Amino acid sequence: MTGALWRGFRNPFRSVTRALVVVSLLALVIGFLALLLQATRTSREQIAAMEGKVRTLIELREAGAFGTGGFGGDKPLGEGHFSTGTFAKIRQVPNAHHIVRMEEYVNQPQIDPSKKNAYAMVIGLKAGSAMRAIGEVDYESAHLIAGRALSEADRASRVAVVGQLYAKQRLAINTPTGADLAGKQIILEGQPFNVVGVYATGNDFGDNHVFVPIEAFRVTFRPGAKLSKIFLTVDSVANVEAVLADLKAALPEADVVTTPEAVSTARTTLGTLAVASLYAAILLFAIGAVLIVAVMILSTRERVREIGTLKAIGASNREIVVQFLAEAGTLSGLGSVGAIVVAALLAHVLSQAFGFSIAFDGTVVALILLGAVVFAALGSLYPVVRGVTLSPVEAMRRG
Amino acid sequence: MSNSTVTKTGDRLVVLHRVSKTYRKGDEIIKALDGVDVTLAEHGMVAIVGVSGSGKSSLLHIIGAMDRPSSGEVMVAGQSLTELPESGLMRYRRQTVGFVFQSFNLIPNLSALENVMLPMEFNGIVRAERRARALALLDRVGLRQRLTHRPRELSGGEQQRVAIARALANNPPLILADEPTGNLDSKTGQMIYELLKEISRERTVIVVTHAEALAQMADRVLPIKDGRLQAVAWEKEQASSEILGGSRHA
Repeated sequence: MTGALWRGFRNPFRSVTRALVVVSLLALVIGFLALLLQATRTSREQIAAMEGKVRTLIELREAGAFGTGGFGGDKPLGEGHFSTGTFAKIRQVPNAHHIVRMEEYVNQPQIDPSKKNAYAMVIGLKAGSAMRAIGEVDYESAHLIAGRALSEADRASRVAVVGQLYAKQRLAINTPTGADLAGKQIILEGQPFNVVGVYATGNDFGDNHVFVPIEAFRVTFRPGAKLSKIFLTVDSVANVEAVLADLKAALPEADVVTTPEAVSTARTTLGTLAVASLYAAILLFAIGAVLIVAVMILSTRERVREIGTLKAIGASNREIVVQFLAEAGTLSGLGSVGAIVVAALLAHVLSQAFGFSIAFDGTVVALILLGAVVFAALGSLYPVVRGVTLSPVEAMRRG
Repeated sequence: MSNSTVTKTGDRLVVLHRVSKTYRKGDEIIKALDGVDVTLAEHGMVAIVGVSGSGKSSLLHIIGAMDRPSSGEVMVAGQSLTELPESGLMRYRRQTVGFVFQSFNLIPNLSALENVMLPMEFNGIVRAERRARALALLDRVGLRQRLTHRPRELSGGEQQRVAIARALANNPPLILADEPTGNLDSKTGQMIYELLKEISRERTVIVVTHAEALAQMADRVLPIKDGRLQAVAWEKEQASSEILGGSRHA
């Protein structure tokens, strides 16, 4: 039986051209299949991660104000309609015990026609709060790329963390490092602020903000108790609806926005991609299975004559089946190695062209490759079984 | 050296009794063999001759257990092929017969040596012995210098000599050759005839052929027409004592 296995491993190389064609076909089919199945999984994971992260978050802002309009609405600064006083009302709602975190958020557009970049957003931030940069779709989580973040010690200081676009256009810092920031200052409402850090979000709009301590913001822009937004975090997704209903009833001065609405565009995009890639994956899986089986049937069918010869010189059916399965395993194994290369290349292209990053999961890839080997075995088994059930002379005649 | 067991029935190796083979081709039933009776001795060369479609290859295939008869009885080396199960037929093909095909039918990616070793592997012979025996056989057919060559690297005559060595691998008492010179030029064909003739001194060689020269070398000629063996064309004087029975259709 070892001899049958060994012949099976060697057989694919009897014709290099044939082996190349079969292996390439298998690699393309399996590679596309692996990529699309993995893309489906990745996009679903991303949606799940996004939903898990944002669904418990509720955003409050003054009624009629839009997300980027500073203090917006009809009420001028200082009137305190939507203000720190709102916190007290929130604490009174029936489901307030489900609220685990309340964050105040103030922002003010900075418009300076004398500068190249006339518009930027200045955001007052409580020490320890997430840097929520207002992005194109969502509040992007800004991450520090140089210097340091704001801290408790900055409460009484005029310091700022700026976005990388702001740093580039206002401070001429292209690739920021901590050393670049020494002595750098920006002027807000005529007051100097020392730049201590630079952050990035991945989009220009989000990278054009200035984060300052909320205390310094209040002293500089003098909004009084007024707030731009309040972010509430609910203890679980299950309680979001109840808290939302309470807030809408208790706070007529506020628009209550759930983050699922805020990220609807992103969700729709990702959801569409997930559905599309799922259908494509199912379709490709079916086509892939048929193609793999067809490739193996075609490459084995021409060998029925050889099966007849093997039987004529005394081979048992078992030896013939083992030999051809080993051959199918070798071909599909090589095809699978090629498929990994194809999938990795396509994933790289997708990432470069569309920014859609696909992380390959070892288990999923292993299952896809195993499936391909099984389909290849099934494909080669059909002509082999047909060959071994014929008499030797019939097999040689039909081959 | 032999792995085969030849059960003697006198010194008759092959006995066919009223063997018929019919095929269905669409609505038509074709009689490839029609009640063939023949007895062949343990040694010597027998040539089956006839025009295309006369049934000569069908007869060879049935004697070689490559195909089953529709009716009748086939006894070879004391074994009734009509009664053997598939596993028994497999053992028969391993040990009792060796086949030589018109188009050689060597395994393309195996070397000459590996091709000759292959039937012995199926027969459970250990590797060292397989190799030693294959070397001796290739030496005998004059291919000692071509051991590692693949079939595509060999001429037609060389390939057929490898095929003859392969047929002899398990030292069977019966060699069946189906148009062994059909794909060869006359000079190479002559060399193959002589090799088969030499082999027939120690065992039975049955050759299906169109070639008159090969038939001339045979100890016995079995003409076949429309699936029926005709009267014996001729038997060589010197071989007549080794050949039993007649070839005759009742």
